[in-house]
Amino acid sequence: MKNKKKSLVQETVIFVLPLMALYFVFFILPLVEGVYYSLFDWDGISKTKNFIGFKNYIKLFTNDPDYFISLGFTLKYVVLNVICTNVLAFLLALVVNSKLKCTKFLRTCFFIPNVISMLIVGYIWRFIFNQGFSAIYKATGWSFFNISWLGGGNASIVATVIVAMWQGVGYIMILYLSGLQLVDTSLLEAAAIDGANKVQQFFKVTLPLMVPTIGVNLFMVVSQSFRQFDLNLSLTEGGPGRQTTSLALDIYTEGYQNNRMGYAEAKAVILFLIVIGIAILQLRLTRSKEVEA
Amino acid sequence: MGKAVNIKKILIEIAMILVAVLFVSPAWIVLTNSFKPLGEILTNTFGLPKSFYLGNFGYVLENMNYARVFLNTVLICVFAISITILLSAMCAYRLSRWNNKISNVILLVLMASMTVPFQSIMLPFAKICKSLGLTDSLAGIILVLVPLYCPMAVFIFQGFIKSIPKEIEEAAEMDGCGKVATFFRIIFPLLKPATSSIVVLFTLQMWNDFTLPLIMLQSESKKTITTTVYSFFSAYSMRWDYALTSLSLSILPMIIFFLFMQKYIISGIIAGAVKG
Repeated sequence: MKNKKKSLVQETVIFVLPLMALYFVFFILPLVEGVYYSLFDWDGISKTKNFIGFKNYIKLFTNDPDYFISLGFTLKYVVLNVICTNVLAFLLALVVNSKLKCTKFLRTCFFIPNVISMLIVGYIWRFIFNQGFSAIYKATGWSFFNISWLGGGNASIVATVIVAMWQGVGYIMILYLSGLQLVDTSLLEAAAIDGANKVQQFFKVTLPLMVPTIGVNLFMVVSQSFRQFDLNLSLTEGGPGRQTTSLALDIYTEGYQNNRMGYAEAKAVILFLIVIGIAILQLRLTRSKEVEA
Repeated sequence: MGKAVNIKKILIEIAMILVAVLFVSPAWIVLTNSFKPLGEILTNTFGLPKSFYLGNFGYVLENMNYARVFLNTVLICVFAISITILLSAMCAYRLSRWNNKISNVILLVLMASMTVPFQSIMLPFAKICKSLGLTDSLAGIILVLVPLYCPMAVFIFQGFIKSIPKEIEEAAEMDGCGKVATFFRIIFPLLKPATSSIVVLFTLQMWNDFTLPLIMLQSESKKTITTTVYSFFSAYSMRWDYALTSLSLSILPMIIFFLFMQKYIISGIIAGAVKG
């Protein structure tokens, strides 16, 4: 018995403790500290911190129009990106999963942007939207290419979504593809024998079987979109004004440029709560779906 | 009838190939424009370069300190990934073998932390790193990458370990093999498929990561490729010739890596996502 206890302690120290110690110091601790700092008026550098309770949060929601610009942009961006990326990824997965001869080539092409850093992707498209589009406009005269895509307003939100989608769609396509390959072809054949055409087969057989995959992918894109940071920095620098400043970028500028640590942390806690809230919701939804099945 | 179907099929193939080529064209345009002088970029944006001009590369390789930052990025990836894999495999092994309340809670917390955006812990995290003297040091960023990437690795490993029968290690222990030796001789080699998935997945993520090197590494000689491109692009935003060449130099290594490792990358993505 004593021996067993000793070996358990030994196991813990050798196998689990090194990683857990690092994880505690560099993940749990900053998370807790962040919540604590959000209750102070503090620049992050000076020795004195002023305890102000929930005033940072109150200010955030009652007296900071800039924050609502970021929140509005982020929510619009997330919704648009989640829908567009998933629809396009599903369509591409269907094409790549088809009997075409060039599917390997297609898969490679659609995936390539995903291996490029979001920061670099933003810069690439800054060139395309500026120099590339103006060259196309000169050649064709199509007004689509004369819109100032990065100049603010809804056009900039659409532009950000297009670029994020270009980078992210390949990844989600792979996940849909692996889902599609698990769909039992005998079910599709049975439906075909019963007289279902291709469209009916898709909506009555394939789509219902893909619901779990769709759930995972929706959640993936939501959580990626909320942490969007480098793309906004490189594509538009958050501007014009603050029109394309995402919540994640806002935390960075607040902390590193405005030096308002306490206020930035209140924003960080809100972002954390939003993302965790969505994660719990997603978990609940998939659980209840499993019970039904 | 047969002929009509065939022609339709060929047309669809050609259409899809065109769509795919159009899809990758932004990256292609950046690459080809890196071989043009500035004037030609502005007048002939989409065509192939008239002559194979290498002046941009000469200038950018030197002024971006490319060799140095390339090496930094490689070193960070190699060491951070090796340490993360080793510690995560050990931890995942014990946690999934214990399979009690405490180990399940730890696994649950680790999994939940995968959803936490880094920006929501970034500022206190940077403060802790600074007070421990880890900022502006390659060893420092390697050390802190381990806890940030471990949840994903532990998650993939523990799923894999569950499928390894306990009898194998019990037999080894019967033969007088200690716990540590059992892990390194028996379990770790069996984890190879999971390990290779994690290696390719983390290589892509760490190589392309921007936020962590941005807040951790300040001196020019310690930066990674992404943070160097960030400062280079800001300095040369009026010079598309140099700016685009810096982009080409940053995307080429990963595109080559992808073309060679495609099979592993795709299976790695699937392994990392089947969590629900």
